[in-house]
Amino acid sequence: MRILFIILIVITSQVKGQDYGALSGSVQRNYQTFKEDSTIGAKSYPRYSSGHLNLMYNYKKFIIGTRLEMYHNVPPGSGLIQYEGMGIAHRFIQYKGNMIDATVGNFYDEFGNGLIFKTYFDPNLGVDNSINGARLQVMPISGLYITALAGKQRNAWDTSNTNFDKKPGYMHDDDNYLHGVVRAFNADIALNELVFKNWDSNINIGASFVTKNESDNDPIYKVPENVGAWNGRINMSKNNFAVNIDYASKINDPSSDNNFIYQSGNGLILTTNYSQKGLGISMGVKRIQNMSFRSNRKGQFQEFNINYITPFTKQQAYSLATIYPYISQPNGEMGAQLDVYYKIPKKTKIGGKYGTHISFNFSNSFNIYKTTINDSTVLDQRGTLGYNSSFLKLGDTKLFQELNIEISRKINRNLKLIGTYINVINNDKVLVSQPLLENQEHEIIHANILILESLIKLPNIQKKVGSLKQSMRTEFQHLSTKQHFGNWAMALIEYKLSKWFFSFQDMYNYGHPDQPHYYSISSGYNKGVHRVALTYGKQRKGLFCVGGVCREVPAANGFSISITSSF
Amino acid sequence: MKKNIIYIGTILLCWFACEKIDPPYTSDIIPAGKTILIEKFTAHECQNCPAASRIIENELKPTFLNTNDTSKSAIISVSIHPAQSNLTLTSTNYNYDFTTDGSNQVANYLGVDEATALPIGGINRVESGNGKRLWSRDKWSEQITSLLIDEEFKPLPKNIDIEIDLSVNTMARILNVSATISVLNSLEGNYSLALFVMEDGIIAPQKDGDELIENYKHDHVYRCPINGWNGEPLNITLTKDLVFSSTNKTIVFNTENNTNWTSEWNNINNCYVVAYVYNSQTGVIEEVNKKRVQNE
Repeated sequence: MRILFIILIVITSQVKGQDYGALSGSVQRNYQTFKEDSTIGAKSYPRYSSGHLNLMYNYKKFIIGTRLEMYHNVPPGSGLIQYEGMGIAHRFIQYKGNMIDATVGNFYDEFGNGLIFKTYFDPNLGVDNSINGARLQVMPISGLYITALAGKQRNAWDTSNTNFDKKPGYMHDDDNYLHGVVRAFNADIALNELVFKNWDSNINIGASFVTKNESDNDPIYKVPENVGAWNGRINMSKNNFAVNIDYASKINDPSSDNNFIYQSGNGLILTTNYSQKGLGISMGVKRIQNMSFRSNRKGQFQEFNINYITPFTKQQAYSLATIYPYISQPNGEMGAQLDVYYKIPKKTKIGGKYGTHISFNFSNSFNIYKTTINDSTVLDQRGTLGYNSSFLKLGDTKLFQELNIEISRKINRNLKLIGTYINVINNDKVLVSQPLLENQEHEIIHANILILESLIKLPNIQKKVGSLKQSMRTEFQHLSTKQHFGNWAMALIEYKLSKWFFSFQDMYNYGHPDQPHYYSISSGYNKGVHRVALTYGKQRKGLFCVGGVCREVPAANGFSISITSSF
Repeated sequence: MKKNIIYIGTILLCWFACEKIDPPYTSDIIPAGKTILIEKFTAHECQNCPAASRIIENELKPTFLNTNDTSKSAIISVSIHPAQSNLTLTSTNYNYDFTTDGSNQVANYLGVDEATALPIGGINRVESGNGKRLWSRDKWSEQITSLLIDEEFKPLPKNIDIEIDLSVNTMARILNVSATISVLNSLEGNYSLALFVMEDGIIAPQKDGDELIENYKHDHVYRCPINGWNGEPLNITLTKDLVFSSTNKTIVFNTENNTNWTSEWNNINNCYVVAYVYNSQTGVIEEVNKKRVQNE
């Protein structure tokens, strides 16, 4: 396998040099050491390494691509243990013409907001639900885009092979060739291009249909071998306004996720936007009922997900703001989000010389309203319809609420300050996602977070060959809560000199009985698409989340090295 | 043209088939010749573990029934509390220690480690991939089916019959056990016999969903091995019609064998001896039986 890499890299320059197409790619390698640290509950494990190499060869209208993945000594509790091994996880051949786009092999795609279909790759989350099969996208006339696809989803590696060299895992049943096959059809129509060419409004409509086949091999329950879901959507915009409606429905799909109930599923996402110079307002509501959709009804965690439930909460980047994240609830959630962005004009009394940016975000999420189907069954009882639900009625349990206010102001040419206040209510009693202390129970967590970030431009350093830019960034954060692990304080200082960066940070959980410090020191070098970073420090146990999808991260103390590059 | 439309329509209908299931949603009972062992790994702070027990008791045991005696389930289950999981730690709220050295060794053998999400279970110790023998709760029924039923949905033949012979002195709390093994169909390879004690009716706290139930009744709890956590080799070729007895084993219900079997403990009548025969090479259990600890 390594020889194959070397050959491919060696021929890269050869192929580029002549007119035989172009080879491009990217490579990522990560190493992490783990030593025991009783102060944070970190354990000692062998050195963990992971990485992937993407290669893509373009010749005229053809693209050939592949990805090699490697995970070695995956630490327990990281949610990535199923990826231990090395192999070609992804390969495809694609023809990309003006009217036809055809792919054979592994591919990713998304219909609308992903309510009934979205496949993607995120190695940090342990997500790779690519479809291995065929995909055809045609544009018979301008404004009409049709996609049809079929195949089986990748799930880590084939578990029948215990060697380190692996093949991707796909569902298999000797008696049913279609077992695990996902079939999908999607049409997007840009009405302005197709019929209403002179309208000053833009209207796009779309519809999708997805089915999955899975053998009925459950001895207890009668389960559907084919489960279908459909989705309709419309997007309208005129001048400064835009409205987007996305509705999906799914027939009975008893699964591990919904405790084997036979209720149908549905989902609605409605968003509106208004924007003008200096002002942006976005509002949205979402209702999800029983919309977990996997090609394996007994799949867990990130396995075999066909769809994706878009989160209606702000994507947090500040470290203390990521402690209590919201995890999307495909079994049922109702929520709303309001986003307002306003720029106080520059050269005004309040706006100052450079203007002041204010962002406001409010989001919440409740469970859906449920009543029992009759007097003899309990809610969500296995092997029944599970519950009745009123579409517009809110559930009585708040799952999550977050208020964000961010004020950003450039003080002078060299200093910019960003102040943030966040108020979080995280119902961990229901979400059950936080680690606990002895005798601690999951509870509703109320937290207030204050953050002050500064961006400082420092004078350039003059050298004979030119000047070197330097800058500094600081963060001071504080999280106060009476629940869970109590209060946190955090400070970060980061210094950049040309392509180098150095940073030191400490997260101090002084409300915790053991008062642990999670310090880390990092240094790295960036040059174009190449980056190397070295970190030594401590990592807290918790959840790593992107877009409402989370992976557990174990406590760790040690070195980590990350290398990324593209060519 | 019409024909083409019909063809395309038919293909599309097949392509995008959907299936609506009408009640009743459950299947009929499944008769089985063999008996299988579910080793359910659980913990008192595991909030989903009682639900897994309900699946075993309310779904699996009533579905898979013995062909000769339909009042008897073809499933024997044992609840093992592995010390590998932090959820089994004792604390003020959960003060009963269910863990034992024997159960920890069994858990280790099946692949339970600190990161294993509970509940999880072994089904006759069939391998589940990645060197483990653990299946999530919704996959138990499929594994049980494949062990009990052939492709034509007929019960797979029972190859071994295990009869447990025991006598107990309840005053002295001494148990004598042996097993009589009848080979119904010849088996190749080496086999071992393992015996252990499990106990019903232990009242101790348990988390169930988001509730802490103070007086939860813990059944089928693994208490101690009788002839080693993984038993002893039979050292005999299992040819058809062979009948033989294992050596007699003695066990005392005291704190040496389980820290909870103190002098105040008074639950001997709720104890069972479980005996299973397994293939020493593959580790897969061939047959299992249980018997209540009481004099006949």
